Amino acid sequence: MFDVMFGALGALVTNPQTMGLMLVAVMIGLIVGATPGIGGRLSIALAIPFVFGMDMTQGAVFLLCMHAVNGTSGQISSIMFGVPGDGDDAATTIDGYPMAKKGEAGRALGASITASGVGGIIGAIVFAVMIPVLEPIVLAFSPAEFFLLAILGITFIAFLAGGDNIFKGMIVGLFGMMLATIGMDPQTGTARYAGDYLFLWDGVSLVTCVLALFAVPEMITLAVKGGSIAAISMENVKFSYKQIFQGVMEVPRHWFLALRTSIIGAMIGMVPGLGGSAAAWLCYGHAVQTSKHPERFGHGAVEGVIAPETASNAKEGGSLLPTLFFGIPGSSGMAVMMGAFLILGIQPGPAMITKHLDLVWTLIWALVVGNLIAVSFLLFITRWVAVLTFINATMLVPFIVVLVVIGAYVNEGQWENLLILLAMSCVGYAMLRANWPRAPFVIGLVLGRIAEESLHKALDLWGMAFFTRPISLVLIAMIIATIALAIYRSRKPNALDHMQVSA
Amino acid sequence: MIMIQRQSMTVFMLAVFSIMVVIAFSYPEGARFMPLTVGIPGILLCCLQIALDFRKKVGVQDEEKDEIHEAELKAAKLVGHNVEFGHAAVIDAPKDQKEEARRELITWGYFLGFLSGVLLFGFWASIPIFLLSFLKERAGATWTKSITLTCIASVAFYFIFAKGLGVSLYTGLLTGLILDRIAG
Repeated sequence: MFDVMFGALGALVTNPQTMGLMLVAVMIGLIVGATPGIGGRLSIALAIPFVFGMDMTQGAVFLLCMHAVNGTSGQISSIMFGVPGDGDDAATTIDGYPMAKKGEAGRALGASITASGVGGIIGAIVFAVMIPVLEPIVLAFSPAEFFLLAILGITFIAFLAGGDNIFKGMIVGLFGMMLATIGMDPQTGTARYAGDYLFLWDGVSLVTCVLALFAVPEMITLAVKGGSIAAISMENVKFSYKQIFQGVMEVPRHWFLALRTSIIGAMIGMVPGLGGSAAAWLCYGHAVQTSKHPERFGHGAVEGVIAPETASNAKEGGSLLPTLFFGIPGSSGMAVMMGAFLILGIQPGPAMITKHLDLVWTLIWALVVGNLIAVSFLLFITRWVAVLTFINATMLVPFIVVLVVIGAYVNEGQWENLLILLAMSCVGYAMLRANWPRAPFVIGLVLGRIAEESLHKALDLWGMAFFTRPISLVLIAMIIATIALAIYRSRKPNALDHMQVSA
Repeated sequence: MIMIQRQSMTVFMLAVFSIMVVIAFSYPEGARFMPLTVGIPGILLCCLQIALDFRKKVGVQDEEKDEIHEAELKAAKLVGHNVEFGHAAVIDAPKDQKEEARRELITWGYFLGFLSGVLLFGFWASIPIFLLSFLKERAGATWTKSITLTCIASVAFYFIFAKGLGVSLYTGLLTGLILDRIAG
């Protein structure tokens, strides 16, 4: 165990090419995180064309580092200008922005950047600690359970859609699974839904679908609705390196809070479907509740910056766990990441523990080292990264569209994929306009083939009796419970919010 | 309008599932098992969703979520007093729905045009034209800015993909014919 653990670290830091790629990934991740209009999911989808031909480990490290540091720079606009980029950043804004208004922007930024880094590292440690705990559970899973896990994954991710969208999420997930059946059937060799079109015999391209569903609709919306930029001039928010250093020192001063919220964040990340911002809000609530002076919160309490930041970055380590070991992405960002992993040849499941534990440890170390690099960089270049908040995102649209089209083509080198890109982009845009969740589609498409293979194996081994195996029954109960909870949530839309607030 | 949109997505999904399930019946037993296992629940869920869509009163529109406002309310509950965030300025926002619909069509036109360009003339001919036209006409950049950005980006794409990653990008259906014709 320790050999693999430290061997992975050695291999990571002594390989100049991998370290170089990590540096590039961190820089891109920080830039993308601070740029309005480009989210974490989109950045992974756009990076997929660049990892073609890369070594499996290097490609995975590149994508993971890029994704993991997105949030570190994401809160710059929420602190400096009070404009949160997403739900995670909103919790940081409550105290970060008042601090900036009081002339303590540097202190708030120093604290949030350091807290992000600490959260990311502790999240990776929590993941590492969970490996020996989960090992026997993962190894006890048979093909029967992996089929049910695929269904559970879709149910969880549909739950992520929230409100009355659970059925829509499940429909979209099944739509993804349905499209996964296109191509040569592994059992009989029948070319399903492919006709004479040879390019469909290998199935629908995952990369093309991810780009079509996540990148094109966002870019069209951006071009139609216009880009948003911070409304306040940089001149109004000045800060010094001394202030940033004071902020950095706030994290060790509140080390116990940082530790607690990081662990809570990582644990929340492990629960697929709980939602990206749940960790940040829950931990903010925790900081308020455990403070001796809760009346300071909302007026510029530094703990109100540390708690959500540690939590939202720690959840990345946590959400990697169900993604890698069970093939259930912990978040929609991880869903796209899982698709990218499959393209690189990384097959989530028990083999990650039995055969590829070195890769798992490399990814854990990549999270640690990536966060360290990101924090070191960002503490020095914050003021320049902040300028990105003023970029008119509409100007980025054509460049991203070019990358999307290249990405769809280079995946398989077939021009027919451009037609699929167009068709799926129309579906993705319609989903966006009709407020349908899109993440379950990726899970369905990714898990569809795995599920089919598992289903056939399970039927061969146990027949229909596989549904009555003990773990199968537990998984079936979880699927039913998730659906029941979702129905309850759709009837009482504020139930989860209330839970978060009271927590 | 929203009602039609809401149901049309479900109807589209229902149509996809139904067609695929019907086709699946023509496959051998082993090949049709998975499409039916997925497709039939898909059809049932679509029917359920259509029923749910109908239950919502006609004319009741899905409220567009204002995430920032929701976050302010959530924050106010947590800290016990009003919380106000800053705001972002939206550049080039459409004036009305008509303008929005027009822009939607134009943007789709650009996307479709670019894809057609790539299919007919290949990437290297289409990228600069698409970038220049979009930056100048749609993003409203000046000629100098548009040309400069187009040149830099086109060269960067070429060096990254063709030279750096060694990817050979599609040259188009007509490019070969045109070059042959020119060469005589």
